[in-house]
Amino acid sequence: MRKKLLFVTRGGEDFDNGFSYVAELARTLKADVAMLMVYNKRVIDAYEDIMTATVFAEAGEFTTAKDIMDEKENALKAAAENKLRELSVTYDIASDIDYHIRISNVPSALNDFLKITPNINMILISPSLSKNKKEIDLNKLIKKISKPIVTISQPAQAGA
Amino acid sequence: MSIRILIAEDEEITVKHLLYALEAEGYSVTSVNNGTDALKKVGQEAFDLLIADIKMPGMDGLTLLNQVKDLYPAMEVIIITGFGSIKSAVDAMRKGAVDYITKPFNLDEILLKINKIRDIKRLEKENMALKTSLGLGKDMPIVVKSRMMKKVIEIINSIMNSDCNVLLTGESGVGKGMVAKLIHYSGLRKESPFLALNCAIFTEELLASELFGHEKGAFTGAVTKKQGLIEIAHNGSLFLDEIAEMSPSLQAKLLKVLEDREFMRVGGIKPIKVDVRFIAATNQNINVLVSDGRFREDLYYRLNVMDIYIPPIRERREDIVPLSRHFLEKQAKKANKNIRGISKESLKMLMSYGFPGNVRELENIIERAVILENTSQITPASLPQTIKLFQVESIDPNRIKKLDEISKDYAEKVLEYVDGNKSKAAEMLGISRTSLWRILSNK
Repeated sequence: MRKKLLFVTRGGEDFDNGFSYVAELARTLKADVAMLMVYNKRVIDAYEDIMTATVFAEAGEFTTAKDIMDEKENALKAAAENKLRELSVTYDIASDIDYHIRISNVPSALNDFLKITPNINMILISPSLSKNKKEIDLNKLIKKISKPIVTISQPAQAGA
Repeated sequence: MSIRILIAEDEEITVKHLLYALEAEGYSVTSVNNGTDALKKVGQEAFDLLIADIKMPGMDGLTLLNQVKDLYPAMEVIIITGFGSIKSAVDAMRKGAVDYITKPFNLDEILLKINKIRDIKRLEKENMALKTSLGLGKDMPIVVKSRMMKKVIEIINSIMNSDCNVLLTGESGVGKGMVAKLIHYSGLRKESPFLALNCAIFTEELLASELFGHEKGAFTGAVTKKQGLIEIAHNGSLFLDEIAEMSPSLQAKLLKVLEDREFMRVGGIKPIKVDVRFIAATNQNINVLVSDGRFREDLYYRLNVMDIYIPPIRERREDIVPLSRHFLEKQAKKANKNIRGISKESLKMLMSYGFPGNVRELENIIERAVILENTSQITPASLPQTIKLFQVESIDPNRIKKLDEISKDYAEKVLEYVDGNKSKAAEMLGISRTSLWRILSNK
């Protein structure tokens, strides 16, 4: 069984920042990569979408209400898939990166993910998350997680 | 390496002669006086060689040979025949006997034959060991400069004459496999096989079959009988990497091997006696696993007779340069390239990098650099660009150190820096000699 590295990143425009490091490390360690993209709940819960879904739900159209709520999530997933396909080619790693999308806060998403995916050997936190102490408090994280955690940061002079 | 011999002979005087000569030579010998008992005995214990008289009451030697070869094809058989009965000897050789001896026999001649078989058996075991030892090289030197790794070597040297089981802990890639090998090859069992098995790469069923072997027809696909690594490692050492990944039922079976020194093949009904030293390793905090009930406490205590922790490379940066140079020499030779050094800038880059993948990552980085490099030394251009672009910091929640431990480590480092002068060290640390003594004696 090959080792598996988990890249945890905030979903969005620059979710791939730091991925080049993970891809390189995976190649060096002959490991596979899984990606956990965590979207902030408020990105999904656009006020208008909720109101529209509520109207349909009140009218008994539960399927339509659910479709409206799922629509944004599906759109995010489709966009992420496209981007991942590009990344696979750019970094010359297996085209089927094992990716997962969660709509939650990062610590909860990570904890829940590790409960159902125990075969992760190392967790790598993206630069944008590593520098954001509000989103990830490592001191709290290590109390719940027993896997090695690697924070990735980008020195200012290094560039992208 | 010694081999285990079973003698099946009804003539008491012949048995006495053989026992005396073989035991004097250091062989472990058991005897029975008929074929039926011999067959029973080979089912109970693992023997490497059977010496059987052709004429015995009940089951004769040739029938015994037939049955043994059918059940235990790896076991060698020498047939004792009467003087002049060449036809019987030829029959025996045709049926799979490795050799024959005629009565009255010359003990020197027998010993010569048995020693030859012992050498062949040893080569077979070594061959098997090489095939299954995860590619670890016997001649792998240990490159150590840091105080922490020197301590590890000291511990290994201190157990050189002991035969205790060892538990190796440390992050992935720190070199636990190499340390296991060093323990084996510096110990009492160095002439016997060293086998290695990664418990994380097999399903429970396959792992059981790899460890304990299986009888023919034990499960779908078991078309032939197979010896397990525990059986093959008899007299030697078995390195079980990622032991924490072993299922509870296999943990129970392994515990039985450690306690009783015997086991049964999968689908087998007869216990097989073995003498194996176990070296186990894990990158997890096994104490937590034990307290959570995920790893058997009794097995933990059986394996953890000696606990050796191998620190990550980021905690022993002094080893980065000598290790890099060692890997360069090895990889340049392998790639047939004339690269003789590592530039200062490259060494600086390596020294400031976090190495989450530890020594294994360092070796792979150097291997890649050797392939890419076109000059006579490793330059930054042949190192991964990502280690320049990103900084990484690793935390292993399993290895969070207490402040006391950090103080002790630091105090020891300072003491080493001032060549063991405690007054000087205390002065540099801004504490009294008594406080320094207290910190250093903290266990």
